[in-house]
Amino acid sequence: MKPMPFVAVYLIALGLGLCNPAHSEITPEVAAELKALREQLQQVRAELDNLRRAPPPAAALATSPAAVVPPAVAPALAESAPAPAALSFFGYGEMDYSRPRGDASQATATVRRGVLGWSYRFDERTRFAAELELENAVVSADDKGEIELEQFYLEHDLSDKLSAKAGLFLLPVGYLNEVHEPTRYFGVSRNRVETAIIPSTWRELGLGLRGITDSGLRWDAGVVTSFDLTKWDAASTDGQDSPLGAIHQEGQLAKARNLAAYAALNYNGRPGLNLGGSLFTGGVGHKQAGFAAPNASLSLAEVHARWQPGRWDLSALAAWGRFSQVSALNATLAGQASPVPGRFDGAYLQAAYRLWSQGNYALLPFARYERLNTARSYPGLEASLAPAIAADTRLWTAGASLYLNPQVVLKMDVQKYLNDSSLDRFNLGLGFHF
Amino acid sequence: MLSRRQSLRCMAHTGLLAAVGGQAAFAATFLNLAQAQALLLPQALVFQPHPLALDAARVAALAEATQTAVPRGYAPQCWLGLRQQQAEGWVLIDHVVGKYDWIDYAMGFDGQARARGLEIMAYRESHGAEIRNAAWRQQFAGRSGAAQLRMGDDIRNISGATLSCQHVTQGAQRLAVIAQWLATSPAQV
Repeated sequence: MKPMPFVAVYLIALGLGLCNPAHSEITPEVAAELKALREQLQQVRAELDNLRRAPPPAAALATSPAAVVPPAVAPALAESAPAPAALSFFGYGEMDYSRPRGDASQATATVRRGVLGWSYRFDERTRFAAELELENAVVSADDKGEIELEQFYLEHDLSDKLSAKAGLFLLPVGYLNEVHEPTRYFGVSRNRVETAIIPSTWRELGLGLRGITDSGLRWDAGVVTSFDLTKWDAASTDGQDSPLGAIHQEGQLAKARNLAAYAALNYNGRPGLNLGGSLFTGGVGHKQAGFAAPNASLSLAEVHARWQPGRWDLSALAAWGRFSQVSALNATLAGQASPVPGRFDGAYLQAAYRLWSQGNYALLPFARYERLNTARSYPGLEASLAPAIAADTRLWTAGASLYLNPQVVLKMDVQKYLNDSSLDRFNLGLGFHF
Repeated sequence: MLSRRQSLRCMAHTGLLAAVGGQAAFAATFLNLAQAQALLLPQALVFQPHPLALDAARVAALAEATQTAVPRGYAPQCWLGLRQQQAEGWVLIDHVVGKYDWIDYAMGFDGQARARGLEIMAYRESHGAEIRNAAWRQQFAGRSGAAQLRMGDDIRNISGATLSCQHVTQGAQRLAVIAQWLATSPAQV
């Protein structure tokens, strides 16, 4: 049965002017016409339902030249499919070997990360997910390992395109933070910009919303805990290595007098292309009595782009951070190694190419250029009382990823620091996820 | 430069607008079987179950043809779409694991095993739901067999949803091979 009656109803309605607000009054004649059309439509629907319920004659099928004959066996129904298990496990691991170019005695090998994740689905719309991570193989009072909950949150789908989460979760900032399995990034180690400027893996406690739209947009917004500036240790170089990594709270008895807000937007409407950015802003002083910067705040903005045409994988990211109202604190840190920076930023460009693939095997050489500076200024300090502003760190990383399987990768790269060759190194890595 | 309070207010407004606007546009897109069948083979009026006989030899042939690891217990389901007495094509449904949970999806094929489309019926994870985007799914339409459904070459990735893209594409390759078998000798499959 063709859908002509529906078209006819619409055309008649148009002809009668029902779609024109200026003719909103329905005369008795129009009402009678509509009633007749409704009855006709119901009749057509009934005929269509009868047609759908009627089994096709098998003989006719067999004689039809274009027909494909089904076997005469009992029907299988979608409803008979087994339900997915509510409890799922997943994980990833990575092992590294790193050898400095100028001092082989400093070569190290470590089980960088071993992560076990699990998820429990309470129903089709409500789930719990967590990741437990062990860094550097051993955790004890005498070792350098860490064990931590990297994620620990509940999520509920408010609709088919909107979900809310609560708990300890990764912020949607940059490329690495949420997708950090070793099979998902190039290089033995994570790139410097997304470790020194964006403190991957960065998680906070709080509430978040995520939505997707039909046009290919994904948006995120939420309110979470923030960093804790009272942790800043001006005598150490931790703040120079990663200003935010030095003061993260990671859901451990986190100071929560100040909260932060985040928002992120990503466009995925064209396959192979991603454009996005994010903004995080919040207090970091937590109104602490006796602390010189109780009203200090932080803002971090970031934009990124990735294009994967054919065998190429091209990406770029830039991030900018700024501490505010830290001058009074820095005034107390004169002469120290690491005052609080006013601004810090970084960016990278990366290109990878799938040179060879066969079955599950694939070889992808890559190159990445990074430029970053973890301290562009020291507010509140005269130049004579502050450390010299260091030149930007500039480095090339070039290497290759050999996939034995999309879930197992062998990596090799060399890193060349353009303004400090003592940092040059050769790295080997093995990573997997499941 | 906006003050922090101004930035927070702006972000709150943006988030609220996105949430409200999003809710208004959130017609349910998760599909039941009948909806998926109607979308994939709209000209078919009747869908007749067609149980697949995938014995060990067929599964091995499937793994060879697609260069994928066929999941244990692999049991896609199949329907023949009919319009009056004419076969219009096939609808197959299957599931794959995205990162850790199932993605239910359906594919339609015409009588020559050319893909009519791909629909995501259920997605249960936190990340990767972007594969429901029409532009990504449209990449499957018109392709035949596993060789025309290669991840990266034929089917482009969605950044942040790589595992979902990979695994659904591998599943689609397997269904595309089954559709080729159905097109040549349906009684044997």
